[in-house]
Amino acid sequence: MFQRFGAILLLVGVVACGDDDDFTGVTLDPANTTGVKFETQTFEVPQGAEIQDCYFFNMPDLANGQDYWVDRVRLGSNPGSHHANVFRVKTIVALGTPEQGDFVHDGECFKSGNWADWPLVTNNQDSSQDSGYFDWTLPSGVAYRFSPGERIMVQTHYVNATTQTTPFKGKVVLDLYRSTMTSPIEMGTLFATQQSIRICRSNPTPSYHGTCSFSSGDVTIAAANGHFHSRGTQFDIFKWDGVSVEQPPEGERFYRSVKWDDPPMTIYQDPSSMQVGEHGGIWWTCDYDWYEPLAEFGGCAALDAADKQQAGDCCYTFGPKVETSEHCNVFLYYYPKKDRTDITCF
Amino acid sequence: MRHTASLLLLAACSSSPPYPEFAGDPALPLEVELSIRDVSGGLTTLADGMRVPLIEAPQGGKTIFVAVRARNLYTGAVELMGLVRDGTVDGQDPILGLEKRPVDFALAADGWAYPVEPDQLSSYSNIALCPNYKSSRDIYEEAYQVTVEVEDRSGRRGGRALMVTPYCGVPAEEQSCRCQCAHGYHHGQCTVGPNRSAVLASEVWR
Repeated sequence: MFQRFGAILLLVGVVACGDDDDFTGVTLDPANTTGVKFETQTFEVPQGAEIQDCYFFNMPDLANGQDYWVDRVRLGSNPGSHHANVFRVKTIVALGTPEQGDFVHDGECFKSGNWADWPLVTNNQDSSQDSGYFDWTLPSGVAYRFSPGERIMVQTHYVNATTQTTPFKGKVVLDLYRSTMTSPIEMGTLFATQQSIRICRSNPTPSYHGTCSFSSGDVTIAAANGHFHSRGTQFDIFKWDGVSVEQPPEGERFYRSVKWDDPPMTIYQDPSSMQVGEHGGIWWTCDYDWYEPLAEFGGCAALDAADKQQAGDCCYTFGPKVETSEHCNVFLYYYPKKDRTDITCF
Repeated sequence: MRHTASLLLLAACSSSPPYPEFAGDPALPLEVELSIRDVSGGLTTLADGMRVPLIEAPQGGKTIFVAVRARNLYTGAVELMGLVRDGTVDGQDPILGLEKRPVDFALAADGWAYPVEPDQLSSYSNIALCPNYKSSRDIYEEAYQVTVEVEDRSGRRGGRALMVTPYCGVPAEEQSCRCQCAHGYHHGQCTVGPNRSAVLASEVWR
């Protein structure tokens, strides 16, 4: 059963990391002997570049054709990573086709509509040299469920420009640790995004608010993180009753990020304070502060040219490019997963 | 008068455009009219009981785009809040989708204030309805309550709530829309994309 996965590792290759004597790069965990491992090659991120790569592999058969459980994830990124996201591949539109094989560089890998119905597995935005790993043992009794052969995408986004830099080389590693539990509580994930955002010179400090409900409520939030780009100043997530139209009170806020390029992944140790009741969900806000785009990326002329409506207001609009566009995305982990589905809110 | 003075100060401090000015009569309550955007960008004034098109949003999902014109408010940066409830009981039934965004409004010759960039999707209330994990019914061909509220910088507020019936607004996407907007939807359930070439990963990779 490991032969198939061994082939995947062979395909992706393992390349010695970096030229810097003091930096060794992220590595797989040799102690993970019964689970799943994946690593990218080590790659250059040229000065001025933004690179988004999509890697694909199939989950190996670890339980004689039966589903199995994973109760620890370890997702590591070399410094400079803007994000590393892992999704379960569902409907294939223009990304992940058989013709593309197991690797897509930029192009369709940058177009988020291609993975609109791909549930989140895990993510990491740690770009610091000090850590680089999101290493999480799930709450007691909770685990992810996987099926043998299930298609997985590991998406890496590296930036070596002005607002974010990659001091060495890019690389991402993923360890999924097999659980010995026979019938754990299933972990669910929630991905939510606020679209049609604009941060413009004429309205320089906008706030956008979105909401997303759990299917049945009565869930416990286990971890969360928010994602925006360099115009982002504050990202808040609140527990929401699913009925009220006012922003929840400060006491319901459970997440805040004020550091766009290294936002915290907050893990909640006390489940009793993180329960969401019937009808409930989350309310999130993204606050921005517009600034003049850098001349090396074309300044306002480039933003105006990319603006479909030619508003001429130097607007950063929704998009994946760190230097010239913005996001407002929530990554959240909860249990139990209900009604056979993770959650995606647009 | 006090509103005007404070708003001019606000504008100066935040580098906003030279408006705001007052659209309408300060003695009257804020008045709102809603329109719905179709797939070709056309607008139809929204009325109670109307069918409203669900349209694929740029990143995915099916959304209704509600346009607003308003009067008896200060123009400039205005907050739009749009939401859809699963039912008819004001303030009681679960909210299926709610979002809040700033939109710049300017006074037009007819005395109403309109978004400065009327063609931008960002100037609409983008109420995403599909997929939806909360409704006890399909999203399409069922009646729901849509509400849009407007608040200007002075805190003047107004809004409208109407019953509408969403429908899949793009004939070529009818099948995928009905799948994604069905009660009980789960990821990977809908393999027919807009170009009718989409497949499920498990069908080609295992």
